[in-house]
Amino acid sequence: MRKVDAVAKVTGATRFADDLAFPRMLYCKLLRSTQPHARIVSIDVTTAKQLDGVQAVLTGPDLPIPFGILPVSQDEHALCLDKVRFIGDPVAAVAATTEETATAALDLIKVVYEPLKSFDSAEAAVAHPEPQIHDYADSGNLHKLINLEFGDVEAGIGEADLVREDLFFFEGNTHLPMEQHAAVAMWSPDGKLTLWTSTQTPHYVHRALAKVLELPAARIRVIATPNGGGFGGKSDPFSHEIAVAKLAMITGRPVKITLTREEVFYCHRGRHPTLMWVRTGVKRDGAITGMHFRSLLDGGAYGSYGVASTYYTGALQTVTYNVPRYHFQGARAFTNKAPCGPKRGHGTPQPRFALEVHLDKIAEQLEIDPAELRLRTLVPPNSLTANYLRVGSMGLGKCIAKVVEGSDWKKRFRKLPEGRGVGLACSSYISGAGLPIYWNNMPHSGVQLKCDRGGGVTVFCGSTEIGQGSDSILAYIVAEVLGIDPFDIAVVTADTISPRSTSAATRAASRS
Amino acid sequence: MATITFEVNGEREEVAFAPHKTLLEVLREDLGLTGTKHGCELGECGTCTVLLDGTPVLSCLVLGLACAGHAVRTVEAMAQGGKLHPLQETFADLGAAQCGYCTPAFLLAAEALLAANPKPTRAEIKDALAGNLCRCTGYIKIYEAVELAAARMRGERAEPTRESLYGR
Repeated sequence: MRKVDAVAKVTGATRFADDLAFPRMLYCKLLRSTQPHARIVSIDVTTAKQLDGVQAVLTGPDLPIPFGILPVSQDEHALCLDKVRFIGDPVAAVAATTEETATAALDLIKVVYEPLKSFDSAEAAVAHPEPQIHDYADSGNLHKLINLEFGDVEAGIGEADLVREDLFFFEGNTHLPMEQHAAVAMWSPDGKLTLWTSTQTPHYVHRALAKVLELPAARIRVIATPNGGGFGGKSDPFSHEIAVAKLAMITGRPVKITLTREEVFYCHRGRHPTLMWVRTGVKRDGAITGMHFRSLLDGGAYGSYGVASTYYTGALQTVTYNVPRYHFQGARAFTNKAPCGPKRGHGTPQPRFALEVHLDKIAEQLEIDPAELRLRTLVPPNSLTANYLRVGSMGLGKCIAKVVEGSDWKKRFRKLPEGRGVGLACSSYISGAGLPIYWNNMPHSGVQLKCDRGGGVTVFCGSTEIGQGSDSILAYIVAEVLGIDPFDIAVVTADTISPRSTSAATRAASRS
Repeated sequence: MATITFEVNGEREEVAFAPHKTLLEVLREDLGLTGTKHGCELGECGTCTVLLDGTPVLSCLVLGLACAGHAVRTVEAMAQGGKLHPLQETFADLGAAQCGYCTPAFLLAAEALLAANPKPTRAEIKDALAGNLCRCTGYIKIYEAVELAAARMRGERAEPTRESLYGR
């Protein structure tokens, strides 16, 4: 069945954030740091303010309240206050009558930096606790340290017939949605702020705006425009969203910003580069007796979702194969690079790559077919893992069997000509979150229906349509229950005046 | 200010704009045709593709001034008389548009291909769309949508395969 927004998308009628324009609209540009790590000695905006067409210029002290996606990592400022932490960190914002004028004004802003030693890798951050990139880190430049042990792992490994140790590195990567982030803010003289923005998480942007702008949340409306791809990269509140909101408040005019492709890379929040060490004990038949897994994440300059990402690098090793005793140690380093965050699978593809290759190496040593090794060690259905994750049904065995059959595995594994090969890897992910970011007892999300006398039905929900089809799913479900055509249903989502999914992430790191 | 006269979606337009503006900017900002999207504005991603005299061009790399006297076609002209173009129908039906941001460009590139080659092979479709990036679909749905539309435009009574609707 067609998606409910398919026709708008194929006709070009869908309005993305940058497609919006309002009378008297101003254009915003951000001045970004040219230094990876430096103290800001001074910023002089006098000449920039005098340029014809410039309506307002902001610097750090105009927005001094910190924000961040996680309550434990409120470490960002809309514009850097006292120091910059990566090349691209925003230091000033200009609103002008044209984009060209705003760009020209950036060149007139004079920033004096006092460079600090900078760190470009997690290893460098481990080696140098000083100077600290953030003073709230768990230790030196290590943002977060995690140590979780479930059962006596050393005793488990002691019972093994084979103990194997491996080291892996997963290079980071970025989301690259086709649409650059964009936002338009409008301020009304009755004290109300509206922000249209290319975000996956309008409710978190709402929170950040209320906090930083010191406005009552009820006076702020955030509307997530259809996202031209997100993949997790539009899941944080961003400097540019707060800057245009403040500029709209100061000037009383609509203010728009559209990031350049280069600036999208500065927003980043991509998959963390991760160094991983794993040591596993196995019996001769392949049964795992214990596993010790360590990960070191290169987090970049800010917290973002990094604490969650770090836990994720250790959480799901136990849910595919039976690991009766499990020890996880994780560390996330601050470095002077664009901040990492959630990207599709959020912190789990890296350890999954490590674990699957590690298992292949174990299979090789035990002389067991790698598909067979996996089938022998599957987590049983309706069980609890060592780290207390509940596994319901378990279809992975059937899936492996089908892949073995469909790929002609037995005839092809290790039998293809030089330079060619066939391999197999498994993965899994959690469904739903145990706890919301802001802990509360309310449902993670809700839907309201409005039925009118003419037979029309409108669905209101807090979810964000980023191409994954969430608007369509809402319409299909309601249509099925009410026995009406999904195309007779209007869907209103991702607007903070509609029911709030206050707790769970709206669409973090999702399909599109 | 530069002033040019050119044909946009079959209609004569006279438009004045700063001479450094690209065709992409003239279309979006001066003519309000926001169906044409921007992805990189560096000529890398194909998202801003429009047809210039029937040929796909990257509108972020074409100066507005260079279009004087020429004919430009954007996604807004594809649906006619309240009816979708066959390519729009199949892109919608087969899920070839997910977030939809790259879609207008794919549609126009595909339309130009089918005008020149009504029965392209999968390889020819891939080649014609190689300059357009999509981050959501993985391209398979897009290729299938172009093949189905091509068949229908040739007058064949083609239906989506079971595989393209439900997977293997």
